[in-house]
Amino acid sequence: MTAGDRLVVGVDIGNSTTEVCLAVLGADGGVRYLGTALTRTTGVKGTPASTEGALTAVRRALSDVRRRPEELDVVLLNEATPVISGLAMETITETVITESTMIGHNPATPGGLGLGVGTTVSVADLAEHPVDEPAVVVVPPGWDFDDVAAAVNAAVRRGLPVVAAVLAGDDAVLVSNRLDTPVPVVDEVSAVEKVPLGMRAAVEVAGPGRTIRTLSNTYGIATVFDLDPDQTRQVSPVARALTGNRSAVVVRTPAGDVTDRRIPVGVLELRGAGRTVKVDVDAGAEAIMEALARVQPLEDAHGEPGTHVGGMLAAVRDTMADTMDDGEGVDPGDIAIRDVLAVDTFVPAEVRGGLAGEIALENAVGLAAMVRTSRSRMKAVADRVAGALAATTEIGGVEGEMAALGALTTPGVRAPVVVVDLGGGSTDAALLTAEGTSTAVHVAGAGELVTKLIDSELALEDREVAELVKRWPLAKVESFFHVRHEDGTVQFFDEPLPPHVFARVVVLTEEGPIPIGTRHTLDHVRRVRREAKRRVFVVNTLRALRQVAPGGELRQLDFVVLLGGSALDFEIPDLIADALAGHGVVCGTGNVQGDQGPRNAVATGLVAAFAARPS
Amino acid sequence: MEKPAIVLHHARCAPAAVLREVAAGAEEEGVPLRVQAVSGDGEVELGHTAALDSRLSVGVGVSAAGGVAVHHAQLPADRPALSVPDGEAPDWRRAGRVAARVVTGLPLV
Repeated sequence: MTAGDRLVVGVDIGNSTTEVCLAVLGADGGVRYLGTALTRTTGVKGTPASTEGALTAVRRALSDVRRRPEELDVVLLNEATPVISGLAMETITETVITESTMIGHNPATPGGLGLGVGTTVSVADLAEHPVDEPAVVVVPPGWDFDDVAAAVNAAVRRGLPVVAAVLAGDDAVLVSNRLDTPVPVVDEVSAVEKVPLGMRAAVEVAGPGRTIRTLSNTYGIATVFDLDPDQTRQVSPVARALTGNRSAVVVRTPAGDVTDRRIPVGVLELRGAGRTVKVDVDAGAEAIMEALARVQPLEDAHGEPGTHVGGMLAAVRDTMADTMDDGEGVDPGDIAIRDVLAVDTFVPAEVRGGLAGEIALENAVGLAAMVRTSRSRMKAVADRVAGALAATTEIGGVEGEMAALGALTTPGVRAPVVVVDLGGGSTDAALLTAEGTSTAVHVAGAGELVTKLIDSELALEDREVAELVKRWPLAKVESFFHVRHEDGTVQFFDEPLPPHVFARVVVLTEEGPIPIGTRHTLDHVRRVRREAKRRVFVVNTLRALRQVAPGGELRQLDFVVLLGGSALDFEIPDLIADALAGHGVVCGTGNVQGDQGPRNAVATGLVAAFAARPS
Repeated sequence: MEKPAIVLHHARCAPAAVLREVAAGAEEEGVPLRVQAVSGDGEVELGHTAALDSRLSVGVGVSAAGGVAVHHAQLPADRPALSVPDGEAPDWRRAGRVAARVVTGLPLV
């Protein structure tokens, strides 16, 4: 280090990671990058607690190149992206069975084959049942398969036509194998005691690899139960709920009624561009996004009080108020929502009134919302850093502009350039022109929404597992010694794989295979994962690029550089590049300083901006 | 040549109730089971020799004390796919199902 050289460090405190970039600025204005460091952000970014992580990272970068903190001339801190985001999801349909009228699940091993129609009777009362009435036997828990088969065989010998059986336990094949006359048998009916007795019922079991034909067809049910057109209309949701099953039971009870009603979701009110547009959330994501396009730039969004959407936006506002609160209190009413992303999704929900944990896919709408905050909260952090390192600190630059400057250190990139930061809560884009002017936009929805979509669409109910599904490629464990990856290639292992992953769909993490608790096939999980990423990141990247592109024309853009944690994802950059391929845009994942990948752009940009400044 | 089946090796005085439930578990999953009384004891060891004897490479061992182990011929002798040294009827039934599921390539219940 010669006289006149200055040692500077750029510090970028993000939502999840804190990144630093250490460099020497020569007296001639040249920049020599010495090294970088990355740590987990301590506490919430911008709060005094986040100082600790910043200091750790700075000290690590210094010790890597054997420099002492006293040698530092200037510490450059970023002004954090002035947006906070929130998420909400609401189901807009619901299937309710008011009386027990159907069992539609897929036990792993139903018994027998075909369709049986008769009157429900408990196995305990079989001996007294009149022989002129075909019987559907209902077996409560605790009955041994040998005893059930013996009771049914005795009844049949007495002349009673037993046409089907419904079992609580998991032994349909065992019972079926012991019957003199085989009949369809459905098992694993956990709430078998709720099956009404003395009622007309139909039981259908399809052969292996087949699905039921009669009970999944509305007119099939109408035929079996001799229904009039009004009654037929009522059972049509039953048929729909049974579609795709290998076995099913429908019991006709006089008061039986299945309703498929839409919950009033409410009206979303979008205000901007001098007008207010109201849109029914029921209408789905596409209609909401169309309405949003008409009021750009959005000034605020409200949900009709007392409806689901009202609750959704209130919840989003509340979390935002909590995040922004710096001790002086923030009134959720003061928060103006500046962007929303609506996504159509579905939520597998247990059918209310089902007898065997039936699941119906309900439609839902996911909403990501974003607010801008004008508060600068870096001052407190800067003061603490200055105190601990005995160096001058500066808070500088708009984050988007800094990211663009950092991205320019990627080999093969020149201005004008657009950087797209694929973050956790929001997707941020910034255009830096050849003249050095910059425009930044922020749109709602990013990695956290992807995780939430995966979590709900696969019914994982476990954010951690959903996060794993998002981050790692899938594989199917095919034996104790090999897995088949989602691209079809096979990998062998020297050590046997643990029994709990045998034959399961797994994510292959660095710690080994982790099973995903789902009955879905690998292909289905993969499709859900890729669709979630496409609906959030591809849609948002295009939205953001249109906002910064001259005239909203993507063809006007030259270089697009992807940055941020999700730019490290194994498929998101490819999905985005595919979507942009038709627009003649050069798009790729950034490689800051030629070796940092999509990391460190803001920290590097802070140093570059400082170096370019006349001192 | 023997038909393809899971092979169950049990100690001569293994409890009949255990054998019944294991057999029921395999039957429910639709995989044939061949039962053989052998000299020797220790469910894991019995299971492993049974697996080596099975054309499907899957074996079940039942000890005199009623312990059950499910084994695969390719697994190390001391590392069974499932071991139930001291269980109840549902555990024995489950062992039979697990053996069948190793054959059919379904997740072990």
